[in-house]
Amino acid sequence: MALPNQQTVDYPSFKLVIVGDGGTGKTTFVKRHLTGEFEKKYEPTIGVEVHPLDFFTNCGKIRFYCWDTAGQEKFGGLRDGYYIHGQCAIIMFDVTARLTYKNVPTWHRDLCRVCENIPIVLCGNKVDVKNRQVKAKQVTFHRKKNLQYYEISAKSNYNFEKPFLYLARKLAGDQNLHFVETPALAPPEVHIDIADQQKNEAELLQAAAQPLPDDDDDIFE
Amino acid sequence: MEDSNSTASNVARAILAVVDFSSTSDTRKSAVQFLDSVKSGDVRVLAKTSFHLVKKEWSSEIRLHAFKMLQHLVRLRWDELSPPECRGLVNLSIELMSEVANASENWPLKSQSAALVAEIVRREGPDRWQEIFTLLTSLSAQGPLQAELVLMTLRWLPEDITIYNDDLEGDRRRLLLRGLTQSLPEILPLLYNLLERHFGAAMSEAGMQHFDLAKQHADVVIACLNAIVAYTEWAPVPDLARYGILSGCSFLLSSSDFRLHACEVFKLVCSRKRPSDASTAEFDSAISNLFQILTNASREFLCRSSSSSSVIDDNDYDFAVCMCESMASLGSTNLQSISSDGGVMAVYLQQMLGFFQHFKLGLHFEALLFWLSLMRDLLPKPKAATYPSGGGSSTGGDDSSSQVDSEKKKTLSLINDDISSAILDVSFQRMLKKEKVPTGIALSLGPLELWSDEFEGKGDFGPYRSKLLELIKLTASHKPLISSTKISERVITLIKHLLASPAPLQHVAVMDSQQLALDCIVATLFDGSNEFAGGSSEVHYALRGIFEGLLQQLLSLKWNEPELMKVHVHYLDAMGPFLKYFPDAVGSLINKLFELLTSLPHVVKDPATSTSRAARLQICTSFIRIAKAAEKSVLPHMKGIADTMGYLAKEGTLLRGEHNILGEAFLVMASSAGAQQQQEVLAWLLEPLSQQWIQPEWQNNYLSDPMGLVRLCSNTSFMWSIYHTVTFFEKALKRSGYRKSNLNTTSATTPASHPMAHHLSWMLPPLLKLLRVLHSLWSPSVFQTLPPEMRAAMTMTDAERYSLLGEANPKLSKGVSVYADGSFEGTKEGQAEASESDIRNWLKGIRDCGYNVLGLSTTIGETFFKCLDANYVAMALMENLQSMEFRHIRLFIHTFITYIVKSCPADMWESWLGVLLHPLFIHCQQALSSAWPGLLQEGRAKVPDLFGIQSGSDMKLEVMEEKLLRDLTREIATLFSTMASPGLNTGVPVLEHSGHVGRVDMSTLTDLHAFRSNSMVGFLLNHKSVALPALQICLETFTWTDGEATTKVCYFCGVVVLLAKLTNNVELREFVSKDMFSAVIRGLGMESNAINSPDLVNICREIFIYLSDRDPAPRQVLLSLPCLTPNDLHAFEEATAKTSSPKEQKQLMRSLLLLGTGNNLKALAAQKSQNVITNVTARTRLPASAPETIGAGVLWDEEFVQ
Repeated sequence: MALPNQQTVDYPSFKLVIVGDGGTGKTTFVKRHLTGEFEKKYEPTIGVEVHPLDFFTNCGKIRFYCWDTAGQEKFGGLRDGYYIHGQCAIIMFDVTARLTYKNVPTWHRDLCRVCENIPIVLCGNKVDVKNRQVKAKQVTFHRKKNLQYYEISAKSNYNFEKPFLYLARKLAGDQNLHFVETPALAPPEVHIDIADQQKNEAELLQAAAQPLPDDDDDIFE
Repeated sequence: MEDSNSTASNVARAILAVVDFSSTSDTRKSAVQFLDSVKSGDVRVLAKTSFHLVKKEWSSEIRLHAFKMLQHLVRLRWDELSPPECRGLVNLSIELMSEVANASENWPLKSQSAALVAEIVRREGPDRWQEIFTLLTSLSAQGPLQAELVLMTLRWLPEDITIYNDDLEGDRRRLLLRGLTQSLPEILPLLYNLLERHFGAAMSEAGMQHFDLAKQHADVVIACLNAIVAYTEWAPVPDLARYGILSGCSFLLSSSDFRLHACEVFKLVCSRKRPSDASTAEFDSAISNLFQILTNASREFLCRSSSSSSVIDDNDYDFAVCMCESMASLGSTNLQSISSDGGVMAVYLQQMLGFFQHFKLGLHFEALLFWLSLMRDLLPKPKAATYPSGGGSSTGGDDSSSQVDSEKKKTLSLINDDISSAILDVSFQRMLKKEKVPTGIALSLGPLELWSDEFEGKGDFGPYRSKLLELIKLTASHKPLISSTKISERVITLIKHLLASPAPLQHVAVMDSQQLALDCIVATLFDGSNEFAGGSSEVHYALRGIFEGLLQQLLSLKWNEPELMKVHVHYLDAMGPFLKYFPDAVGSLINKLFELLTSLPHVVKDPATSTSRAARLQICTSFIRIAKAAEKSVLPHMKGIADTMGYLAKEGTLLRGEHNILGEAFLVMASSAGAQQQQEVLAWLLEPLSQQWIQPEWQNNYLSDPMGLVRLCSNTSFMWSIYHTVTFFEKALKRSGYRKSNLNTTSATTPASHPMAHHLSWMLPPLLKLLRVLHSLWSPSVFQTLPPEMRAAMTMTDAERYSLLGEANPKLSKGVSVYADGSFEGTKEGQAEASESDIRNWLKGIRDCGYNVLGLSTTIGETFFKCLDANYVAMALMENLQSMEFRHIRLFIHTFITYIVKSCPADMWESWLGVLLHPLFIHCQQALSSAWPGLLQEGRAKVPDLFGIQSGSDMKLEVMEEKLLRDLTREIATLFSTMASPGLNTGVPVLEHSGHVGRVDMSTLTDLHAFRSNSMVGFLLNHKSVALPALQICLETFTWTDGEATTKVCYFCGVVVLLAKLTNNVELREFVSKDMFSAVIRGLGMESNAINSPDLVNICREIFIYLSDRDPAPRQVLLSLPCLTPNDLHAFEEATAKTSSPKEQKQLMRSLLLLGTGNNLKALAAQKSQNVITNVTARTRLPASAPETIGAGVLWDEEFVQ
């Protein structure tokens, strides 16, 4: 797909739309790959920024044009326009801010009404932070909508490649596709607690085995 | 006209500026501003401009935004249009829909035009639905492109009512939902017709090679299935069946293009809740039909894939996963719908077994979850388990058991020997992960996909294996004989393979993995209770035969490789529980263990790499495991074991660490041998230690000043011998009748009764000296004078750093953890001085077990408190508190302070807790208050800990510092919650349970002194100097971003509020009414407290309800909120006065706080929930009570999910 003002490449490229509430770490996540820098300062994205990200697979090189869209409401009035021609998407939320998870369904709806049946990954970011508010077992949205879910940490590079690999496999229609060369990531600056994380993954698994919640929790109970 | 055209082109330009990602941010900002001004400007200009810009000549971006502007208009500005204008807009929108219905149109624009019509329906409600539905129906008949669009509208419509309904008020939402539900008899038949018609058309066009047309019809089928999904989530299941939706979908299961979508529909239906109204029978019949359909489809799949693994492609696999999930979800949610028919159930179980056995890990995994939950549900809880009969059919049925129980028994009886065997076979085989399988063995597995780290989305191997083990356990308790036979055969076969193999070490991983299964089965059959003895003698006899046979095999093995010996020992100690009932074999087992032990060299040159050393320790540990599992069966052999131990020790072939482990095993045995023997054993084991320990020479030499300790660290063997003494004493305390349950009560057991009590007096005084001098090393004046290697040894161990960082330890320093207990002393011959890391391990080890000994000593009666002087203890342990690292303070609180607080007799609170808690709270308050602002403001917590890394990324330090700070904060908070626990506050009544919700009768107020000795919190509050720093920490915790700490502190504050209510202490009342109240409200401003917000709101409620009539402060605090008027407060007070329900009062308080802060309390804002409607059932009312309005006779029950 040719993008305006963007050099075209002679290998497969895909438009990847990244959405989610403001401050969930979309920009940090993308930039992490590009330059390896970890941005501590939060500068809200205005409108959109597009970054080409290349990955090397056993079937050759591929490129994701990552459309990093503004999460903040005040810049978001026109966001649907950015979704046009989107071929895959990442919905990001922040596990330390519950509201950002509550808004995931709305992001999903808006995406699905512009992009017909594209592969979507749900990412819970900031799992390196020790005071998480959205526990792994509370994350159930992806199961209802058949999305892939990953816990990630842009700060520590944890699971960084997983969303891209999943999308690449879906787009290529090849479950065995794999990345052959680690993209040049900066050394991780935080090491997330593997034991904790394994617990989270265990919880996720447990969550997968639970029936989906269908009762309105009363906060005062 | 010109005007609107120019507006339109300005809008178009602005849209392009926004979507062009090369625009500057200023351009973009001003374009956004302009577009917003159009959206909020004249509504008719907005309408006109938008209709102009949706036209074909504009680019898709512009048209998309124009659709969005129209949707905005309908949603938010509809009321500004006149009714004729609205009607006009409806017609225009439907026309627009038919305009975009063409093959060259972009999907997003079709979708948005459909969404526009759905928005209109949602806005207009049921009134105009008939008219619009008629238009849609006729549009859908015009052709596939039109039908697809209509289906999109029918899809978006329910989603926007049942899921995305935040903007709708409750009444409006119900009105729309009722309208939608009443329209199901029109919508569902339309969906069915479109599905049928276009599926047929797609097939026939494809048959005629008209692929473009076939594709158009196929798109309609997909759009139709997508729409159906949007109804399947909530519409009454009988309706879905009645209007043919389910049978339509079942027809599509035979089409590889549509079956996955169709199966998604089934998956949703299978997980729908069974209604409990008149429609239950219809629901059951729908589900059981569905079940038939799924069974047929999965039978076909399982049959095909069992013939050859290569016939399964991705499409097949995805479909199979969906089928398997549907069937599993049917089993977990709606088993009642099919369970009454034994034949059907048998087929069902067979299919689920097929999935479980499937070579595809994904299918097996889904089925594993199913089998686990089924077996958990069917089998009685382990505690209540009666001994299962070997035959499998349950006997002794209880006549009074309910129908549910009898159905469960029926289902359980269907899980017969064959099924159980198959479950075990698969589980045994899959206990190994792919990465561990040596190539030679991998080949023999064929296409079987073992668990692999690369496998996506199913978590980690550990939890998966636990699931397998649980299933094995459940199966074993259901079919003891089958499981015993299976595991025994399996183990014997594996041993044979290993013996016959040219490379036996290759089999270690497989052998190792099966040991867990054996362990699990033996433990299940012979565990804990005496139930085994009550089983039928026939089964009894058979089981005995099986395990005796297996044990004989194991005893006869002669493996010399340490790696294999480790596995061998694991298998031997797995048999422990069996020995409990069949003690005859204990003697030979113990002899075997000693034989294995002595066959391994006891001195090894390089301990770090020695598997022999690890194997020796493993063997010693086995004694503990067997002593625990076999209980009294070991008692007759105690003398023999003691003699052998003595002999080996005399020979010098038993190292001190090994001796300690065997000693521990002895303590375990003694604990089941009666008080007399226990005393004797303790004397036998401890007296040699005390002889050395009480000598004044070493204490004077090494413990009187810091330099003495430095000298001690250069005397390696003595230093480790000290360690062994303390750590063995710790073991003795743990293994000799120390009961956790005692900790919750202040009334300790009678001191004389505890076998360890009279040993405290010789252990503790030198230990306190040791800890005192150890603490002093960290004081800055001493630290400077220490030799460099000592200073280096005081830093963190690698393992601690890794755990703080959450990294997996790269070469998991097993060497250190296994041998750090000093068992390498013998290997250090000729090496007088310990290395830096030895000293580090020693310092850490002494601190760990030293604190533990102190903590445990407080739990065994009053001896601790009587044999020591509180002031001396406080001085010895606290004099260098200022220089302690956070990790050390945390450990100190965790292993000592918490125990002493729980165990200290109330009459000694004054003398003991007063002196210990005062310095501790003062120091912690200062340390935490100065560390937190750093973290909150600059992202760096100031902590005193020595990390021992000169350089390294700041990020690493940041993470470690934060972790240390949070850990300490949580530990203190936990201590507070312990102090507030009911057991320690027996004098504080639980008010609300006895109905005392409202205000307090002033005449009943008591002096705070009254709670000095019947409430730990009361005691604290009576000692202002101790209480103040503690309360200060509590208040500050609310604004530190740590939800976990807040939870604990809330608990403590609750008791403080209660005491303020019950007593007449003015200072306390003022503190709670003002300082605490404000702090809690500040806490509600933190998102990190979202999870605690109910607790925080409750504290606010209690403060206001209990204290506002005695103190002006609660009102003043509320009135100081930025948006609260006196009228609001007045209204709140009136409302709370009217209710005595704490729940309602909490809700009122919550609303008041939100109002007062202008909705600015983040902890409460994050509670916003969504009302997703998941289940709608139509309930027929009795005609007499039916209201004569729309929807008469029918009520709608909605269920919501958050």
